[in-house]
Amino acid sequence: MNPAEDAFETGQVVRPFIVTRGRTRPVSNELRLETLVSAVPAALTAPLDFERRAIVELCQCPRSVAEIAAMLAVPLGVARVLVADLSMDSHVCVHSHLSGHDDRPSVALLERIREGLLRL
Amino acid sequence: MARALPRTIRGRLPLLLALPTCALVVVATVGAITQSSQYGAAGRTRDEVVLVLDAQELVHQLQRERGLTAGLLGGDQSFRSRVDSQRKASDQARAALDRQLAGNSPGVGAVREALAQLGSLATVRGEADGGSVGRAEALAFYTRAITALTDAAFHGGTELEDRQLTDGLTTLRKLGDGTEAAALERGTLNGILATGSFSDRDYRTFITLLGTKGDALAEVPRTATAAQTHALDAVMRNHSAVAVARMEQQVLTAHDAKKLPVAPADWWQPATALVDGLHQVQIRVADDTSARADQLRSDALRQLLMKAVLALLAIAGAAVLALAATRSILRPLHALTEEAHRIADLALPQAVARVREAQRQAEPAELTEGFTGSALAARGDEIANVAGALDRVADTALRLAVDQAVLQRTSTESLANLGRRNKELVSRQLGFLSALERSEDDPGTLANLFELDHLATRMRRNAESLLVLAGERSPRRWADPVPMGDVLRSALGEVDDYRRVLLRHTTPALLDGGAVSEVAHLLAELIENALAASSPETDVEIYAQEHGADYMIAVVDHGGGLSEAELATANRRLSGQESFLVGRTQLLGHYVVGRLAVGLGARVWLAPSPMAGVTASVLLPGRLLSGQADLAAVR
Repeated sequence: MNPAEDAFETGQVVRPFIVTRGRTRPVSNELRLETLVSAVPAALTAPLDFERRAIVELCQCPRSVAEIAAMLAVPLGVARVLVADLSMDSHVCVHSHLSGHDDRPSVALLERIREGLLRL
Repeated sequence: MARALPRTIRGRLPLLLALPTCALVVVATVGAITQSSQYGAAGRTRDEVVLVLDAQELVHQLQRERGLTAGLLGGDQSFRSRVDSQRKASDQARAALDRQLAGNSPGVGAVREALAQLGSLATVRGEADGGSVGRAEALAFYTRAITALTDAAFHGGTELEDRQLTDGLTTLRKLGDGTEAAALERGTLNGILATGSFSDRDYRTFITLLGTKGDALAEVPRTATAAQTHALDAVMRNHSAVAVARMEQQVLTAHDAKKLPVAPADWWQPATALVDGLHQVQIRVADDTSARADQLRSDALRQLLMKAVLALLAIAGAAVLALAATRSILRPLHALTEEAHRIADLALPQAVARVREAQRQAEPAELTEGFTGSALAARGDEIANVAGALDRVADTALRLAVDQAVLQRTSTESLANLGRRNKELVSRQLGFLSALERSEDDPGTLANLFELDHLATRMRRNAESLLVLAGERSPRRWADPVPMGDVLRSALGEVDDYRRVLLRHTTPALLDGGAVSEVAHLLAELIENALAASSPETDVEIYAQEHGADYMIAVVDHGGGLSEAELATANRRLSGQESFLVGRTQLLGHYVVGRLAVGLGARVWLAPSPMAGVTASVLLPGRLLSGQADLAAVR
């Protein structure tokens, strides 16, 4: 054993399939990359653990699904399953209509996406 | 029979010597008995000679009394006073003989009986004084008593086969006969001379006596020694003997004369001198014979003592030799035993330990250095052969141990090498899968990727198990502390049927980043066992909470449970006390856990669950946990 030889691990401690217990299909198909999600106020006191609790904490202000996946360092598919579960249990609200009237993304949304991409 | 024989060499060697020693004792005893019987026989012969001599003293006096009595009865009153004094002398001699017969030796009884014949001596004397007994009758009485006494004294001869002794006894006998004949002649002729002339019967008696005397004395030199013969010759040639011979001639020549030409007093003097001379020769021969018997007796005694001493010396020598032989065998055997114990207890284990600790590059020849052979091998005897053989056994054992150790080392190295390469490949595979999973949009494909991910994760655990068993610690390390929940879920990813595992209760805690992979691996092995031990319908539950300064994790299954013995075996393996080389391969997991636990300083044990099944408990030491401050920061 030679600590100097081994670089520190950068990967996740928990393999992604464990996070959803192998599930890959979300309970609803309404979530897209840019779909914004925000937690309901009561969610903070709900008995949630691990990534679900982290999502609730993240979504105190609205976040996109892509952001959530990036910040939790889980595959997008995993984030979708988690958010869909939380949405079904009414811990988060999914904002389906983020686009403007001309069906183009608003400037605010583009700004947020840019910030999110920068953080990656 | 075989059981009766002693088992030890100390017992067997004396047994070997017992037979010759017994034979020696028997021979010595027989010799001693022979010698002691010789000794006794010599003693008896000597007693006999003494008895003969004692008896002869009385015989001598009786002969004299007989002659004087014959003269008195012949009518010569000049013998009166001499007869009286001679009777006193006879009585004294008899009293002396009685005293000497006090002993109980053989022959004494016979002599006593013979003496009984003298009971009527007083009567005969009285009759002689009164002249109421015939001269011939009186002579016959004395002669019978004398003959009986002589025969009784010569009772048995000797048992000894000694020529000198038998010759002495024969000589004594013949001389006695000759002396008796001479004494009888003296007495007879004394009586005849006192009468003055021969009667027919007297003449015949006289002639017969002359013949008897001559024959008996002529026999003497055949058995007598030269000195004895010489002494006899001297007696027979002195003037008394010559005078006696001359008077015999005169008497014979004038045998039919009315008046014989010799006076009784003239005859008595030289005849008595002759008889006395013969008696002296008798004494001399008796002394010689007795001396010879004494010599034989002391010879026998000396030989008896000599043989006894020799036998004792031989027995003592045999005992000393047996002792020396036993010691000379036992001492090197003892040394050999100690040598063997030393090799078995110290030298061999030390040499093997050196081999195990030695550098990988060391040659087997160097490793056996310092392992010296037995010093006994230089002796050059049978013990040395055994010592040499023992050395060879030790050498072979050491060589095999060295070979085994080298083989084990190289195979362990190979295993570790394979494990490392495997782990590296699987790690790269997992990294690649992570990338694919991140960009995968399709749930179906993602599900397949997750299956691959699960398989690869378990492959990585196997590779790491291999490394653990090969004695190598190369954990994956994280820079930051990791929440305990993540560690538990990481462990779940490494088991097959993780969906049956429930995380019941987890107290928040942070585990040191360097210990994460090993703790997860350890837990994965326990969870895998718990899953295998319980039926697919039941769950395996995990509880995790602080335990004082430490942290306790319990893996609870609801299977059939384990027996006491199985639990004990499993716990021994879990504590890292057994090498996996000696155990069954199915239970490798427990060895891996044991090794990991020892490395982490954790304690792992199995115990029956409250209801059914087994609870595996892991106690992680507090030093593996990060402080509460870090925990708060992560929250």
